[in-house]
Amino acid sequence: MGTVGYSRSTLGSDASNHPTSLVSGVAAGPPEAVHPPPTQRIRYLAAVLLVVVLLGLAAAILLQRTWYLPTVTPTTGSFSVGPISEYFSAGQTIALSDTPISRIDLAISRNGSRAAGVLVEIADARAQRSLRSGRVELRTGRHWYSFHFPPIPPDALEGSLYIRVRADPDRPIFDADGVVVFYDHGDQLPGGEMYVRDEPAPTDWDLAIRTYRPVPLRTLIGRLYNMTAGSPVRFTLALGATLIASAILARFVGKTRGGDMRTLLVTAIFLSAATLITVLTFNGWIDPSVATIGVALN
Amino acid sequence: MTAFFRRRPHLAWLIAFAALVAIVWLTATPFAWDNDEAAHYGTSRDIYEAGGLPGGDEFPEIILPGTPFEDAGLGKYHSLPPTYYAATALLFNLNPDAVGDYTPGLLAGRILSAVLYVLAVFLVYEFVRTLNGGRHLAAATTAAACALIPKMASIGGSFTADSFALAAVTFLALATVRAVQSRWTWRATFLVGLAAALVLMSRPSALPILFFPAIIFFFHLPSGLAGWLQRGILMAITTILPNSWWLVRNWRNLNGDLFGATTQVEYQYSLGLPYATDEVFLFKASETGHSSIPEMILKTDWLLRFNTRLWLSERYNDGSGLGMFLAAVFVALIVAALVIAIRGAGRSPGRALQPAQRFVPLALLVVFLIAAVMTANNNYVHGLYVIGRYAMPPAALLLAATVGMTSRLDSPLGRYAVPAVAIVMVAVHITFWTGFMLPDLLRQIGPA
Repeated sequence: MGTVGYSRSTLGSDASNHPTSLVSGVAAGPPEAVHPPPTQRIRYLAAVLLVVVLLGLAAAILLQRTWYLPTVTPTTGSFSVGPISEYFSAGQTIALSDTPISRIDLAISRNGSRAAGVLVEIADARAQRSLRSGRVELRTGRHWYSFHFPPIPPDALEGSLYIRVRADPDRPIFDADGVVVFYDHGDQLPGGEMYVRDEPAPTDWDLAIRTYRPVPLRTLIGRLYNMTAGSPVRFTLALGATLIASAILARFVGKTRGGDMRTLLVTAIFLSAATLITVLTFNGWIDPSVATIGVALN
Repeated sequence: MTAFFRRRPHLAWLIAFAALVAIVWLTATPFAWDNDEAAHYGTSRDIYEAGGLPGGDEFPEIILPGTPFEDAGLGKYHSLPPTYYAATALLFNLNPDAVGDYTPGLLAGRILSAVLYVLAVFLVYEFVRTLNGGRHLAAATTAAACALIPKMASIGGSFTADSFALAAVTFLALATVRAVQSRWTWRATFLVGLAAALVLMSRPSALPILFFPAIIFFFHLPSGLAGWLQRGILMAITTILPNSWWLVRNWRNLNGDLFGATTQVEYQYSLGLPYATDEVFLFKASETGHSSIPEMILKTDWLLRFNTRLWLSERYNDGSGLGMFLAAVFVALIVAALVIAIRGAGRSPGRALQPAQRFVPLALLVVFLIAAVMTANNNYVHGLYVIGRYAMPPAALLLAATVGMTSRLDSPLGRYAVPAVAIVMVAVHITFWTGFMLPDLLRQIGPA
């Protein structure tokens, strides 16, 4: 450190966070190392432990989550089939490959002011046999629903899989409820057909549908590694850039309040808590076209 | 150069930070992840392949989607201001072949966007430093917070003329506050005109920012009408002259549609090619029967979509909790802008603010509202996709100005405003990546 005045570039935070006009030739001696008192050190230790606990909790929740990888995803914008009513249903057949299926996402919306729900049924199309079914209460402003069910292996089916959305006879819905199922402007499900009133629809287009298979976390991490079109170099660059950028930002935030340990720890606690809340309330935070409202089918 | 950085401590770190953020985005996102990257790319590629701008006889057909993007439902932007597209067409010479999985020209175009994004972040830093009395670290942290607005980072990572617009808009904002500080010297006035010229040659969607110097310039009127008029004329000439060649070209080729946006939309519609997907049926007056823009806004989820796309990405409809959180942050910024306009930005040590500078956040708020209304009008009249990027640059500048000016206050609010906003934007960025981007990118990898 200098002995005459102080240099903003070397002293950094405090000096450079004051107005330029204040930075002038003020004599200052070399700074002395200041050690925090024992009580403060205990607080710092407690704060570090809190950060570790919060991040550990978040990691544990992520590890226990059932992750899914897509087997089919919509390709273009979606349009609405319906409205669903006691005389109208929409459905889709899906030709399964050799992968068991355990989750299907459908886009269903409700525009009416009245509470409304629909029946969702998964059946063997040829055997006319119901495999899984359940009722879903529709919400306004959200439209992607994920239907989770015990995996259906392809060899358990005689024909293709048929998923159907219709009104519950015990609790009818009407046109005014504005319940619609969305379809995709394309033939995204080869071998699959869209159905209206249990009859094949006169079009090549399919319901906007996403099917998934459950995967362990390590598979998901592998997918993340390869997600940029199979280019590990791009992923490595992105990851490296993220880490260095985070370090630079931590430097900024820490120094803005004088570079003290307290600010850094408060920041770390805040971000750890934000991470935990994000993980806990995943579906509440994110876009309904990505996140979904979970519904179990039995 | 060393002296430049010595006078601006933390700037080198800020530039490194912005460059790294841009690298994350341009490496992690696949081609056309940003909603109209294919259209920008296709326009530049056409010019590269043809060896020049399209001739008058090629309009309006040249606007139509072409190979390999027929299915994208997107046209080409040949009717829009051509400077960016002509410049990026030249970049194809640097990157004529595919690099990894980047299609030819894409990497060079994305790197240019990254450079323009970094430049914009630097200009935001200078903008804040001008308003906050020279507090370097606060300026750098505020600029870093702006750089973390997902929409802004997304622009820096994709092949899009919006990156040029972003840099031009931030340059105009900086030139204007510097002009106020220098009491509109001829040189400062010329620079404002030059920056406005860059805005004009970027994209029609950037034009609302021209209201910012216009509003602030009015505060200079009491210094004398003659001088004010002379400066106004200088600005107008400097703005229009460099753009006159393509304005005349558009006038001739597009039947008087100077900026080409109307031609772009209406020609596609005339052929039955909707500009976007189902949003035509949600907002366009002729499809929905809405009788006014306020009715459209009140009866649909337009505000939710606009808010999400303003901050995050055009890919998503509804930011849900994250969108609400960002809306709350924005309401706080609006309140801060009003308070600063009424009460000033404190009397803490540092360079004094010019009287006009306290109205900077309010003027930016007006610009933001104009851009928002322009977006709503496009949805109401043409049924365009609800686009947030028109209004994002003034929103980012509003954030920078209010936070930067608040940091002048000698109070806990002044001390904590900058780090708090930086932490909030980090949390927003992390949530956006974990909640939106990663699931979306994972979906794109196709069948497992």
